[in-house]
Amino acid sequence: MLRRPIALLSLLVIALTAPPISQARADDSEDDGFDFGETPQVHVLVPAEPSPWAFTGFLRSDEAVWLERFKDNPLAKARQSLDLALSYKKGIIRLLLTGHGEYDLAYLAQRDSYDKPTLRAYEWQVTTREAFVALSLGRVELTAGRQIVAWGEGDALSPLDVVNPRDMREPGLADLDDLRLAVLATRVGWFRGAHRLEAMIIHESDFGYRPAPLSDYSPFRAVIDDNPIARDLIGDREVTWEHKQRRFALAQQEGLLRWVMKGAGLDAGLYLASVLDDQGVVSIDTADLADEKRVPIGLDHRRYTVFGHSGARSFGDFLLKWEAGVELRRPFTTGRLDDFDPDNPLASAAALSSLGHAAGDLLNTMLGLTYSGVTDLTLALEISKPWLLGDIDDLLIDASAPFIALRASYTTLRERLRLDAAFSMIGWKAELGWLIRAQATWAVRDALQLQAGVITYHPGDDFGPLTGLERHDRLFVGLRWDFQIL
Amino acid sequence: MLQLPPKAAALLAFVLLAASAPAALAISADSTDPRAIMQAVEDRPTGDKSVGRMQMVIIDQGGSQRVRTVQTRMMEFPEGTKQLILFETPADVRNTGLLTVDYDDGAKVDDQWLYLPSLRKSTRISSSERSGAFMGSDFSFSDMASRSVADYDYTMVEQSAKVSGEDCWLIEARPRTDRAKEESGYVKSQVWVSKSKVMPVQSKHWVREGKKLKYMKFEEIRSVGGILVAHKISARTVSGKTALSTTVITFSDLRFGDSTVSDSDFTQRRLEQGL
Repeated sequence: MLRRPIALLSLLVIALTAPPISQARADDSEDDGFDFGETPQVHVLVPAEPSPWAFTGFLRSDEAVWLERFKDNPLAKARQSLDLALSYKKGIIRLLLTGHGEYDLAYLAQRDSYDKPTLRAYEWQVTTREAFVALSLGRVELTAGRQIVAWGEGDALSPLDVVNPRDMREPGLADLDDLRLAVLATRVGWFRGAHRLEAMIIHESDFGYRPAPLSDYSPFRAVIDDNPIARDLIGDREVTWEHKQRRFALAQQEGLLRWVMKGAGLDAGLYLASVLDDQGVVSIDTADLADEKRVPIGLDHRRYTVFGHSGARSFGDFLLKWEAGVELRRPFTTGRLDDFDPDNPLASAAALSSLGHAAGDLLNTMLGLTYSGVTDLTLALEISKPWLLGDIDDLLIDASAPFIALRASYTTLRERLRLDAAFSMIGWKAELGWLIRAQATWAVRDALQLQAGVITYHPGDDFGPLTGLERHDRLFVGLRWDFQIL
Repeated sequence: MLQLPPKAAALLAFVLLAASAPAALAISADSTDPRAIMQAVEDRPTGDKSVGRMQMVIIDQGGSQRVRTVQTRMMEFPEGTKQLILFETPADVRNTGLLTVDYDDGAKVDDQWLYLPSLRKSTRISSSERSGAFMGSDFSFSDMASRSVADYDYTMVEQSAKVSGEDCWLIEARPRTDRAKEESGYVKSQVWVSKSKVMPVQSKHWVREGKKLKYMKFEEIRSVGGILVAHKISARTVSGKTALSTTVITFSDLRFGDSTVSDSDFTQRRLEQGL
């Protein structure tokens, strides 16, 4: 199963690292008859005094087609979005207010084929993102408001990055600017030289964006939508996620503490947090199934504790990163959806009713190696491996499966063109699936980028995050224009 | 698109050093020893603290321009140099920051952290090769880095060469080792060193790969705090009879010995606070 992607990646790496054929060693006696000539006149754009205010933003247009659905509805995405950011910084005060709006025109075509929860999740959105005030008082910094804080060292994989919820609506496709979602929190940091000690209280229970249960990217769609028994059971009713936790509740606040040192030759961090599980364990209340209009699938976001360590150290052209975290009383969904059988109603009913939850301790580790020794090329490998500290029967998704992420990035043509390739795999033998994303980004001019790429999904034999993504390969293009008004 | 290079911070520090000289000079205009002259160029004191802003305009063969603007702060400390770079433009990289601790001890690996606003975190990055292009420009990392005079053989090509009426030494430099050749990216270089300023006013480089030549000019030399600084530096890459591209760097708001520069400017906290 893995031969094809590995071969593709090998070819890509060879292609990226090979010198252009036209290159040749210069003869030092050569000359060209050129003289130094006049230096071109350029406009000096640097303003005399930077303003404490800044008003910036970007417009983005993202289009995609399903590669395997040309005869159905090939349009996968036509999302138009606008992001704005107003900031102020002077003396001890820093302010930031950002907002985001998006509309996906793809949902105007064959609109009846989408259920309402899918339209609510994907069609449009207007929201504030980060909105905070920060005060710097000597060694202390206080930040209050909606904010994003990144923990850990990993880029693609980071078991310790438990602070912010994420936009998981399109696995493997979210832009970096959209991936982490801001939460309402208060943060106090104490700084001394290379050291930072920081405490944070998250006041808001926000669990991020996820695919609607019957939307294209939901693993449950494969189980529910393609099964006549489940379809009959659901009928015309909406299938929705229902979070068991309220958005604001005193007892649900999350507490986080970290010490980070970024010093000579070594970065290190220690982390302790009591947080709610963003994923949530699935909880179906049979009484809710009697509702005439909707079928709610409960998500219970239970509290667990995590403590861990991270580090990074460079060795010449190599950068080594690592994380290790122990998660105590981590909640897991249990059940045997593999037993779902369209021809066996009893087995299917038993599978559905088998969904439950359990708690267990988990040791989660990450090891990453980045190589940047070839001009304009960066190769990065990250492997995350969890270990269950004890036995839990009938885990819905294998909690000890490793994640492997391999990325290559190459810039050329004076950094006008960047080529990226990313390969991700779940399970040592891709038992839970794998995906490849490759894209090219062309800088049309300053702050205007054109992007084109392809992503291919290959679900594994076992139930996992990529289950049901058999016909989801996409060709995508995008245009992004960044601007500064003030 | 802007690929932020490892080493960029140290290089911006050194581009100032390479283009600056103290008003008081340590070598006679009659000197005929090219090594002593180049050593005097490298040994110039440049102040232990500086702040400034830099605009880089990259002009391609068709005449289209790309512009990068950065703010820089630099401070020397007993083991080397610290530098903070914050990007102002283009808009898509605004507030991207790079913090570098460059150690004088060549055996010690430099520390570098990159802050990307989209990731909301600063991450350590590894040092990389030096002959590559700096921020997509006509300058390589080594163009801006401090060079060890011992790594080159020098020849006096012309004892009295004129550049815009200014009396200069014309000195040819050849890397002595394969490593020096690889790091510099040049087979050889010719440098016009002003006798009155003891700093380069122009240079010509034979590029190791690709049959290319590179022409550099150091212009608008003015005194800042008693130190002569080229406020405009240009590099033009030529292949055959064709000029491939030109990069013009312009400095503004330069201050040496600035008392507002302190250790707290070279921390993760400052890096993440941005402009």
